[in-house]
Amino acid sequence: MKNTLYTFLFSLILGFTAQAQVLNVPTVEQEQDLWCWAGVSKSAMDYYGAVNEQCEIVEWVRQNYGGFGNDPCCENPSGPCNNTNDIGGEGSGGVQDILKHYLGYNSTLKSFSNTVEQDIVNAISNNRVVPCAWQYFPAGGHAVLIHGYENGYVYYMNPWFGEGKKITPYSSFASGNEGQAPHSWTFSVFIDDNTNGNSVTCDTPTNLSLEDVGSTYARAYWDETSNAEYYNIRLKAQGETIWFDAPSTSDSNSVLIKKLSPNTTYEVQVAGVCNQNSTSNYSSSQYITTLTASEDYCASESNGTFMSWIQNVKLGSIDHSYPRDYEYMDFTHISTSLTIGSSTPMELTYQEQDLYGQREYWAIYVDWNQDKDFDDADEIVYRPGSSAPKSLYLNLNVPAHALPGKTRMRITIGRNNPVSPCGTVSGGEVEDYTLNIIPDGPPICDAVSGLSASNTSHNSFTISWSASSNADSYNVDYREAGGSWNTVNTSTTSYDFSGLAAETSYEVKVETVCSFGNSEYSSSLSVTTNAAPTCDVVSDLSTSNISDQSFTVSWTGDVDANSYDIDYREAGGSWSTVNTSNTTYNLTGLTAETTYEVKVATICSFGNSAYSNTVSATTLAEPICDTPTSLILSNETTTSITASWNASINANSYTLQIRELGDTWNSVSTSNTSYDFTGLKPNTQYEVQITSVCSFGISASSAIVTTSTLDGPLVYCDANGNSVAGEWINAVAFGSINNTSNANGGYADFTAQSTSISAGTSTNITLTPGFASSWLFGTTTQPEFWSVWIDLNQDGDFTDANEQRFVSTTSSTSAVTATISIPSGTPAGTTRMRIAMKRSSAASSCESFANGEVEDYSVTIIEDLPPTCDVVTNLSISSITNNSFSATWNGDVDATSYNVDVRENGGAWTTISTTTASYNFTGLSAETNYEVKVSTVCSFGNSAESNIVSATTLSGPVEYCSASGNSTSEWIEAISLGNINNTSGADGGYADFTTQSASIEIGASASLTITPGFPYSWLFGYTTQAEFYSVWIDLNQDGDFDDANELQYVSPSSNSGYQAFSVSLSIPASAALGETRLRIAMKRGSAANSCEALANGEVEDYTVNIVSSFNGSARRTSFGKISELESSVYPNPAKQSTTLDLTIPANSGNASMRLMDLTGKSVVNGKWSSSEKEQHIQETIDVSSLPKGLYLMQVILENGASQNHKLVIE
Amino acid sequence: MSRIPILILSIFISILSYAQSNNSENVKQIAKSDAINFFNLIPQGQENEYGFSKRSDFDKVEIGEPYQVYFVVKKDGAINFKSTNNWRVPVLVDGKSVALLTVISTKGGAKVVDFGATGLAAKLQEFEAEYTASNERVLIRNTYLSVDYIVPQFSALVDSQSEGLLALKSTTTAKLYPISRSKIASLTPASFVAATLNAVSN
Repeated sequence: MKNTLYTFLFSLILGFTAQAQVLNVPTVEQEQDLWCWAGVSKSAMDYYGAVNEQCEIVEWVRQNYGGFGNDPCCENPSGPCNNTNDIGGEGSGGVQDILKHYLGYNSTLKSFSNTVEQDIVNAISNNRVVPCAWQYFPAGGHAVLIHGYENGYVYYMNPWFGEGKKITPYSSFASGNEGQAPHSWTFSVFIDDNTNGNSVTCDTPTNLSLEDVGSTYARAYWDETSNAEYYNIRLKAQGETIWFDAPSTSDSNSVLIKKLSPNTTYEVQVAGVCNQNSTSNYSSSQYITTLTASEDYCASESNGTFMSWIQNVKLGSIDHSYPRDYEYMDFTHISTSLTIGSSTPMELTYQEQDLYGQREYWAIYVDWNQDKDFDDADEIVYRPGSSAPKSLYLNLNVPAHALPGKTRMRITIGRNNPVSPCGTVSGGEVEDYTLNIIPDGPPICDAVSGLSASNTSHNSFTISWSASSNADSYNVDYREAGGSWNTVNTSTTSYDFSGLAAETSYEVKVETVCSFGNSEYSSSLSVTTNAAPTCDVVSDLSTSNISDQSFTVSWTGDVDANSYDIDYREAGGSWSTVNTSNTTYNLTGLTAETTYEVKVATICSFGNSAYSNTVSATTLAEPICDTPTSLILSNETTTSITASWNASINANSYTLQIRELGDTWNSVSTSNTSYDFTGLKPNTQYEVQITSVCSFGISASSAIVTTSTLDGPLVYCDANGNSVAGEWINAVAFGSINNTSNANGGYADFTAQSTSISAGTSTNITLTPGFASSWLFGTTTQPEFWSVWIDLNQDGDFTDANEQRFVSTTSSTSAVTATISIPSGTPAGTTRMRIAMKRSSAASSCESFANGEVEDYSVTIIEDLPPTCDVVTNLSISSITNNSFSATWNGDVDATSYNVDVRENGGAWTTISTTTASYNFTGLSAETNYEVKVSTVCSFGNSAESNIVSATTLSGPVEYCSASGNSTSEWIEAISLGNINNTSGADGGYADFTTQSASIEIGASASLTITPGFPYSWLFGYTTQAEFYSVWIDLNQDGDFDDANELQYVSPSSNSGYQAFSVSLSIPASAALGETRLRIAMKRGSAANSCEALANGEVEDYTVNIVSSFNGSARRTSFGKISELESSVYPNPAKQSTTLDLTIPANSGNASMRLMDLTGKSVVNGKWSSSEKEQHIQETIDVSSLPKGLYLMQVILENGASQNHKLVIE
Repeated sequence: MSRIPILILSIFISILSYAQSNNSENVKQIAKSDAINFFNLIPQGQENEYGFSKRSDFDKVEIGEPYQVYFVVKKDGAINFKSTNNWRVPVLVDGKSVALLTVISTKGGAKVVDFGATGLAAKLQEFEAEYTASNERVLIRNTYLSVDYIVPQFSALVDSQSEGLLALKSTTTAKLYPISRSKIASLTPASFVAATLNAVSN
């Protein structure tokens, strides 16, 4: 039986429940000063059931290992036996060897180390006690026994007198001087895990019987158990209450109980003692009544066998050895057969304890006439007057007057004198045996006796009988009553019949088969087999536990049933069958509100029963998950309301939903019929609804009920620093808040200070720490972490999403500036901002922390309205020149760009896009009225157009942009064009030769010859640079060279030659008639722009007079409309396409259109014929494949009229 | 003996007595506050093993007078005593001494480090019932002989202190009382020394 005690301890101090494992070893005090090891061994062995006295343990060590003197330790324990011993070291006789010897336990000796604590835990959990050794300072050692461990505490048994069971911290156990001299833990003995320990269950012996009963003794027999090492026998006289222990025996299944009183009834029990000395329960009682003294032989015994004892007896079939016993042994269950008149060799051997020898006296007695004494003639078989050798040889002669049958032989050995047959001596032993005296004649094959039957069933029974002398085997004859005999042979004294007919009478008789013939048959025994079992129909069939989907079927079954078939069906339907070995079955998965029929049949190994009667059951209707009723809201406070409702019968729980009026629902669950909503906003209307949650579904939602929280201020949680001795919030700057607060004892309420912040905007906050001056001087400031919360949803806490607006990711000891953004959509109103500064780590919003400070402020959130694309304001025109002016306006913050519409003299509007709130118009016509209006372009739409402002350009010449170069290395040496033939040489980078003019007919071409100039050094070295030449003509005379075709020539590649070369100038029909500017640029490395300051090269300007014909006068055109031509382009700007709306006057010739990029390259062309009538054309032009940018559309009539449109392609 | 050694010894004894008296109250306070920690470690059902009949006895516990613990050190052929800086403190239930708490004083402070010793607790109470109680409650642990001794007149038993050792007086009438299964009886210092030295020599 395990003695382990598992105990749950509740530690009040530590506040948790722990499981202690403490092995309940007995407390053992060491019986001698130096027997701590014996005390520890005994405690361990007692725990495992091997009960031994300390002196016995020490004696075993003394006998097997020495070192404890010569005296038996149980007789003189305080002498040399009072000695120290080791706990470990196999083969030394220490505790390890003791555990091995007495318990069969293997173990391991370990020195103390850091791993021992875990070893202790493991050992205790495996029910292993741990003997340990301490070394005392200054001298001496001690053994203790660890038997428990719990959460750092050791339970140990200290055999030191008075100490006993102890509890101490592991560290104190390992090393310390707690309550004693200083010690250190040296060794421990760990019982191996593969040792069975005390886990073996000790079986109770069975079939106790008592035989060989004499007047003072009886022999007990029992069935050997599988694990008993020896057995304990106890007895008491009938009517007594106190049990007495008979000597224990290691015999497997019998023991002789001696010293009984004659003619007395005894109750006897036996128990097994197992390997680990755990003891079984005692068996059931058996009773015997001893013989009267006259019925039995007289008693004879010695007072002790410590001097000598009978070692071996040989006679006939007897060859019996038995170790030293006490006083008297009854071996009458051992016998041999002797024939009257025979002489049989006999050998007796004795053993003795001391060295004297040859002082033992044999005596042999046989009760030949079987009168229960040894007083008659020849009954003293051997009793010499002198001592005998250890081994005695003689022949036992059976006298002729001996009576046949069993009789007693008594053998004695006595110290110094022979033992009389009924006498007692001080040393020696007495043993009784049985002799079977056989008459002198032919052998007899005895008939069997005691024939009986048992284990009768419907088809079998067993017969048994007593053994016969001389039997080799037995013939068993049997038959059905009155039938023919059948014979079977067996060498045993029983026979099992099987396969018989039920309720049939059988006759059985047995004869003994001997080597020399057979005996007579025994009398016939009649045995009637039992009735065959029946597989009965079940009874009491009933149903119960009816639900909507199941019910239980129960019945009374048959003892012979192996199982039962349950047939069930919907009433009138088809049967289904299930099987069970029980007498109840739960039918499931049924249909609600349906009647089922059930019947049951018994299934036996030898057949099935008929079906039972049919019973019916109707399943219940499906349960309904009702919606809770009477939902009401009450107990409104500023932040809470209570919802209550009537319970729904089948509800397991309820789901409540709450929301601010019209907001999204939030759900909570409860199994109660009321719920307190907390953390709500003051003065806010809430809606609540509820559903039932049942095991089989959920109900519909209840109607929504509404209430409002009371009006009142929000209550925020407290937060503070407990000390500002070292650091504090010194200043906060946020919007209009600029508060130098200094130290305020850990918390300050500055909610009277407020700043307004618009939702959807960001504002910097600067947080300045303050430190104790001693720190600052010592420059030993602590790492500080800042946190800023804003109660964005104004619900009285800082725990909602995004309400922590800033937290330090690293510590700082200086001022921190962070950007606080207010998310777009944050509700307007005044709310709280909390700022915390905490040493070493970031604070939480409701924390009371050791060092630092918290301050609260107010923030007024301004609602962020949906953005508008506003009309520009204050549109005005300034910086008016003869060909330019500037328009400026006040724009909108949401603008991505502006559409600037401009038109000349009430003509068509041209739209220009700009991203700035101003635009410089250039290339305008002098003395011309222009109108301008602006609309705002936003990502989400455009504004209306602004008011129109107008301006008239000034009169005067057209101003051109400047352009120049550095002529020290290359320059324009000369040009020639028409009448111009100008060798200019190097002119310092730019020369204005506009006084020199050449006429070119409109629509015609002219040749321009350019001669480059280089330094002589370059010429001689043939090392001229790569030069690019560009030629512009301001065809529309708008003061720039940016318009279509105005770049008349640009070098396709570098020209490193120093020779003159010619380019062709082409005056398109759309060119404005009259004088205009010709610009020639020479630039090293790349082509120049028309208004560029060149690093290397030169620019020269000339005048070209564009004439309609050299026969007619020039005709000036202007930007925009020509009276003979009406056209417009829309939309403009265009993305995918634009439409040219063109009116061709009658008989004006063909009309053509060119769409050109800024390089003058035609990207789209069109042509239409005129007629005698005015034509109106609308042509859609696909611009989707063209790059974004500014283009020029030129519409030209054959009569020379033309109109240009700037087209913006997006 | 000269006057100076007498003065030193007197001061030493005075200090010893004062220290013991002063320490006792502190020790009792520590024992009282820490005791429940150990009581709660007693496994359910094993209360008897630790001196209690039931767990409700925990609430009835009172703290007895502490015994300061010394151990025996043989040095230069003489027997000395050395303090362990700890005290065995009786745990009383209904006036009966049922177990001992051990309080140890270290640089880190005083604390209870051990609980149990029901037999020793009973013996200490038996001694106090048998003999006149003394203000000096000293327990000597002799690891040479594996025996504990009660010494009610400890200051009379020892001489001046040297290197942390208190020497046994060569002439004294103070007695030692060995604790054993037998009825407590006195032992002369001479017998004590002889037995100890004999054990050492063996």
